[in-house]
Amino acid sequence: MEAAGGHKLSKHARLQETQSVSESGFQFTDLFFSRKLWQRIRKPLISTGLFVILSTFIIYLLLPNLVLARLVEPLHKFIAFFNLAQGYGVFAPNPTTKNSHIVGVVFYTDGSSRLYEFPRLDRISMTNKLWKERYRKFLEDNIPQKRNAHLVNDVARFVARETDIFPKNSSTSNRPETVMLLNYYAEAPPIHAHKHSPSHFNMRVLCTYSVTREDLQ
Amino acid sequence: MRIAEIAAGWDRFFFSPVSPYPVAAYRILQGCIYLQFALALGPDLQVWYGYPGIILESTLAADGINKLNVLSYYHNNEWVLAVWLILIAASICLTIGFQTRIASIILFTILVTYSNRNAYLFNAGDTYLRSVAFWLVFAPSAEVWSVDSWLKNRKKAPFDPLVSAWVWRALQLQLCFVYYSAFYTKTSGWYWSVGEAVYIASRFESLFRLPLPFTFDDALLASIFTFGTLAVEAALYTLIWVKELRYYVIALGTCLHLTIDWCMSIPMFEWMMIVSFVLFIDSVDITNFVAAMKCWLKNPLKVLQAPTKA
Repeated sequence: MEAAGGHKLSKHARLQETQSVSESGFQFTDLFFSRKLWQRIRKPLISTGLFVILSTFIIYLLLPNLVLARLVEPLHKFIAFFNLAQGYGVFAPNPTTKNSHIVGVVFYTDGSSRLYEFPRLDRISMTNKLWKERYRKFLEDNIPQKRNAHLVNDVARFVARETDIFPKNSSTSNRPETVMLLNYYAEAPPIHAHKHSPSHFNMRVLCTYSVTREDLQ
Repeated sequence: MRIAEIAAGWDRFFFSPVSPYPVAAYRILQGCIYLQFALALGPDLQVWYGYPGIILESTLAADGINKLNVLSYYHNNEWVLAVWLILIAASICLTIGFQTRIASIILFTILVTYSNRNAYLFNAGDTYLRSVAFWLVFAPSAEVWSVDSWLKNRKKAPFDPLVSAWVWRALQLQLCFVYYSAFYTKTSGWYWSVGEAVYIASRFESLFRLPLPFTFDDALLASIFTFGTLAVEAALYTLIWVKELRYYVIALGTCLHLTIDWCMSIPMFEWMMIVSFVLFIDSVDITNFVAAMKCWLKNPLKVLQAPTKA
């Protein structure tokens, strides 16, 4: 009797629970837990998650630090997978003193050459800056950095494809043969000089890339 | 201090029932920023994310770290376009609060994908957008001012105007992390220490937007603005928690960001920070402001005439 009564009671409770679910609408946690269980484990579960995530974020903000880096090592895969690494160094530690731009020089097999220019943010309208800002970040902030040297050949391949004026699989032999990426730059004048910013008269070669047929596919 | 007291403080801070309006207002405003983010990527989508794209996927995969990247499921440009269109749809859904939870999960997944596929075009603002999207996945942001809440109330389901505070608190802390990091990383910089950083930043040609009535070539003015920036950034993660000072700090922060937005072309960044201040505004003030706006929209002239009649 007791068991039957208990069964009846639990059925009734389940019915009540279902009604309350349908009344208050579906919740994401219903997929994993009953409402009753969720109410019991909610606070400890969320508190643990919050503590771990917030502590990890804080530690990422304090890096580089060898001890702290060891501390967050177990979570590094999770952070890398979701790219949640924290760091908001805007104009830090110093704003860049360099004004720069990158151009590509493409040499064709017949000996001719062509200049390939990326969008230059200092030469476009304010409206266009809304759409082209990513070029500034990519080409002025990141590509000239030594730590990003492994990306330079990809940019050269991109320039080769963009300047390959013949249709794909064309039999003509006049295709891009070599691409040079040149970084022009100038330092901002010191504050007491009261001078205009100079034109980008310094130059360094980022790469000289020999284009293959596969690059143009 | 006892452990029980710390636990009670933690419980009060993260689990008090609070009004859902600040997070809902934040969802709407941040949703608009996400939409702008997506639209701004559109014209050069295939350059950054297409196949083969400006950076090859194989180059980035060389580090051997497993990263979330839905673009790698199908290696074609149609899929890249489809993912972008889904991002736009998710941003709109988040803004209007339709299927909000699903929209925020999709939004977070695509933002992570974009940063994992090519992170070299993103700045600190994008890191903030991604982190916020992570918290929004858990947020009760559609309890009010959303299509979801409208549909829920239409079916006469019980409506609870209070929600647990923890996501709201996490979003507040996330904003403070930004200002802490911005302040702390600057303090080791030479130009920040000698008061010339604002002058140097003003000489960055690519970011130049509109001129101010003065220039930062004057050393004293440059110093005032350089140290002023540091002071405001420090206040935005410390003094913003003091109730009596909060609105003054928010006003200073808004002035700082509007000045930068006037002089420098960093799309979205300044506005995403300004809209984030809504997380620190009292829910009563938010609802009062919205009620006043509704009243004004219904009859703009009546509101303007009211003081005269009195």
